[in-house]
Amino acid sequence: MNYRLQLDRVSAAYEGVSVLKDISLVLPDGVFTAIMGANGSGKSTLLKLLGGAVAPVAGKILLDGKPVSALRPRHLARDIAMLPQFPLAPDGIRVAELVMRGRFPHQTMFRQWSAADRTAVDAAMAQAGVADLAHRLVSTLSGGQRQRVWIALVLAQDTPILLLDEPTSFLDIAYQVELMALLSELSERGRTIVAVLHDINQASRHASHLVMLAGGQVIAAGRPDEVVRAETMRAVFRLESVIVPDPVTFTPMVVPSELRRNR
Amino acid sequence: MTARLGLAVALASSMLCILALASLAIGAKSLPLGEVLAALTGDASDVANEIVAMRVPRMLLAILAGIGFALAGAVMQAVTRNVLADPGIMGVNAGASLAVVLCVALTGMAQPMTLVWAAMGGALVTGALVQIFSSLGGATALRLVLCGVAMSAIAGGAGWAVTLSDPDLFRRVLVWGAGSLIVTDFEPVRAVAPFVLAGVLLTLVLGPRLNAIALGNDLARSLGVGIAGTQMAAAASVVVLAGAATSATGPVGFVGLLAPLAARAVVGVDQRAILALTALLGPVLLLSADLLARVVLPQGEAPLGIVMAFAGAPVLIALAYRIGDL
Amino acid sequence: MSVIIASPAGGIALKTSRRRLLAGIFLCLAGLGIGIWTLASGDYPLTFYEILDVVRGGGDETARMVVMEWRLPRFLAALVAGAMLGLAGALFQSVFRNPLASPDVMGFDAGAHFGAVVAMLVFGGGFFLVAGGALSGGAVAALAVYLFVARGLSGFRLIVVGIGIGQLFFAASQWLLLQAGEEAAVAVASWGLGSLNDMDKSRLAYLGISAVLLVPPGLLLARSLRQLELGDAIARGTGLDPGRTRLSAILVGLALSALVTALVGPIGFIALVAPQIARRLTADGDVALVHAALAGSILLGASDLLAQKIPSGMPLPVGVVTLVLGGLWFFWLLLRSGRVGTS
Ligand SMILES: Nc1ncnc2c1ncn2[C@@H]1O[C@H](COP(=O)(O)OP(=O)(O)O)[C@@H](O)[C@H]1O
Ligand SMILES: [Mg+2]
Repeated sequence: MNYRLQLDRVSAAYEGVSVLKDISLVLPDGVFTAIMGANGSGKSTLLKLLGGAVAPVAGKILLDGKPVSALRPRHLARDIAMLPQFPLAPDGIRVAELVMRGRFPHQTMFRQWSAADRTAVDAAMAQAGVADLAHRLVSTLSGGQRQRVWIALVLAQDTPILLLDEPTSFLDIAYQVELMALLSELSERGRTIVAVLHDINQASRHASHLVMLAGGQVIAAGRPDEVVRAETMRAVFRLESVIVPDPVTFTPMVVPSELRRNR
Repeated sequence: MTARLGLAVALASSMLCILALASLAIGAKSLPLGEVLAALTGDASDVANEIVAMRVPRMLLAILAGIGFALAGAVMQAVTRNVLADPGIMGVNAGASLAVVLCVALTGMAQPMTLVWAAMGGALVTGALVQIFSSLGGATALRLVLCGVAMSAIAGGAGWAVTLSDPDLFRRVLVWGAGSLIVTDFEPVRAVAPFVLAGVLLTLVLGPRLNAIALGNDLARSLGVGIAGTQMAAAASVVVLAGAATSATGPVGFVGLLAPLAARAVVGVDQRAILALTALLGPVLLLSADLLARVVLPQGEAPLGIVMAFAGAPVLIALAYRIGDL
Repeated sequence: MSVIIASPAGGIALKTSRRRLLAGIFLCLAGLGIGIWTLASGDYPLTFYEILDVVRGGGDETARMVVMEWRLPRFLAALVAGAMLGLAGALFQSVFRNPLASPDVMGFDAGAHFGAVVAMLVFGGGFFLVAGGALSGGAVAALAVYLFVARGLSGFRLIVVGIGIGQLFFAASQWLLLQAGEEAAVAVASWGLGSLNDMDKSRLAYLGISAVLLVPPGLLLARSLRQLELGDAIARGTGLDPGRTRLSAILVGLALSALVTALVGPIGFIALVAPQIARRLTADGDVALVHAALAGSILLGASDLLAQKIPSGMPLPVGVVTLVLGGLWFFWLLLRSGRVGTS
């Protein structure tokens, strides 16, 4: 298994409060990895560490064996694109313009436009299903449409590695399925996808590598059938469940067996 | 009256008395306290008698203006349910002072009585404008403050334009515009006192209604309090109080912010208690500022407004920092 | 409709839009109109052709004197100072993501004014001392505001903090002026309101040098600011260092507005209004630094023309005019919109 991106004994903390402790993890190339865990378990923090947005208090985040912190932001941005949970859209901006801003790392002061930019933006908008919204004002879009515009922006960045924080939020079920399919397709074509996901069944259907966080540690990591087990559910969510095969894909599916949690 | 309020009122009253006496004693030529007391009954040395006689109107004017600015602020804060509402921040003082400058420039008259009426006219116009513009589309705190900024800018700019049209006027207004209390006779006191008194009476009547307003307009209405009527009466009292005070001292900011704030911190949420304590704390603030100004700048040109800005601006900043949603 | 301006090989390719180009042309024409009006009108009226003659190097001696010595320097000063203020405001508004965050509203100008007053009254003045005073005063005010930003204050509450800091510095300057006695106070007061009335060639030269040093770096920040407006996470994810961009924009904006304050006095509202007008004209949600600078020039040029036209006993400082116009603009905004967004 090849990997470019790796965490080596990484710990993270906010203002002295520890969030992640001594995590070592590799993110396999060309694979769709889903990161899961309870609310506040540090999923977003893990993603920010990978994208260089948060510095670890101990350990190293390595891209091709080199610490991410040593890379110029611009170079990093040609390898890793990151969709945060709460991006900001300026008032009065239109969809195509916003998506074009994903091309920033490929442009320079004097070359603010190229044919490659145009192609990448068009392809990204088509993939995210926002091509027919191109001239709409972003402020007039629904939450789900807006979310797809942001996804188009990171796709337009055209990087081998994509980090996405809860990309399915605001999407209706059809678009959720479509986005999952798009992400697995991208990974099959060689891109490395790392996404924070909430729906375990969806993740085990589409992602081929799962990482389960709890208590600041990686509780389980591996193929869906290795990770999605009743013991893991109990350890991470304190939830009793039965694991059955998904009737369509035969991947493991969680069916909660106890309606009340004993937290 | 709760024990807490009683104690607060007693403390504030004694502070007021002490400061009043101090403001008679301290100045370019300071007098011992015994001589001040003797002069008040008229049996001190001639010099002392004269000095105290000159300082009494100034002291009284500071008290009246303090009541005016502070109560106006308290009423505005209660009606708008916004702690940042203050006649200075909302531009009412600036409007009143523009009217005074205009009055002097156009008629050449500086009779205290004329100035009081002019100032109240200015306060009325600016107050009405702020009210209209801030309530279009819902009076949020942001709209109120922006209106105040706009009003202060326009009134301030227009005031400067008028002042600069006449070099002589310019010299006179430069000092008054910074907020000062240079008076030596009783005429301004006689002019201002009736209006401040009227404003105080009006706010006394308003107290219980303001308590109802504090619960939101809908609930107040269902408690039988007329919203429009209360707002109108409140506006009238603000115009009278802030106008009269501005005509006395020039536009002095922050008294209307600080005094009600301190009162609320001490006595809690009952508007009647807040108003009562505010009426004492306003003069306490203004007398202290005047004393401080006299000590720092003994030539006697007392930049009251400047002293108040030094005291008030940090509190404004702290308010913005501490208070969650305005 | 985007417009690409590119070299044949594609080594240079700048992107703009038809609307932006048209807005720019419109602003330039408006500036030209105000310029001609300013040069032509006054106690010694000139026709357009007389002005043209003078500019070409001809014309009679009086006309030359009136245009080249009096009216042109003053008009150029208005253009340059206005552009600097407009650009400064656009930088701050973009960095703080707040259309009200301009150096005048946030108290930076009051800080710069205080610094300049200290330099004048205490150290005796001179361009470099006054400019240094203004820069340090503005920097202290900005640092104070920034301490609150660093503690997570934003939006409306930040504006109130800025207003408070401005009041503090304003009071301090007033106190110094009253301390200095009436003579000095009257002398400094006219400058204290922001005035182009006694603009001379040496001050114009200082203004020009400041603009040449600061405006290009400011304009070059456009690309980074555009990215920063998408939030720190996206900005960083697409290869920008948000902290460095913010710091550069604040430093350049501060220097721009402090130097104008040092040379012309504190002029309110240009830095606030010009970027807002620019964004309305371009209307594409993108930063509009060039347009903000142009709009600033025109606003200050027009305000100064107005200041000269209003009859008055003493020459009217342009700052008084911008104060009133700015207040009216605020009311117009409040009237038009149910809300003035700050968040
Ligand atoms: N900027 C921050 N400052 C302080 N604490 C933070 C910050 N961001 C996240 N946290 C805390 O760190 C923990 C993990 O957060 P996060 O990584 O966002 O969790 P998740 O994405 O799994 O819900 C939470 O307890 C959260 O409150
Ligand atoms: Mg999260």
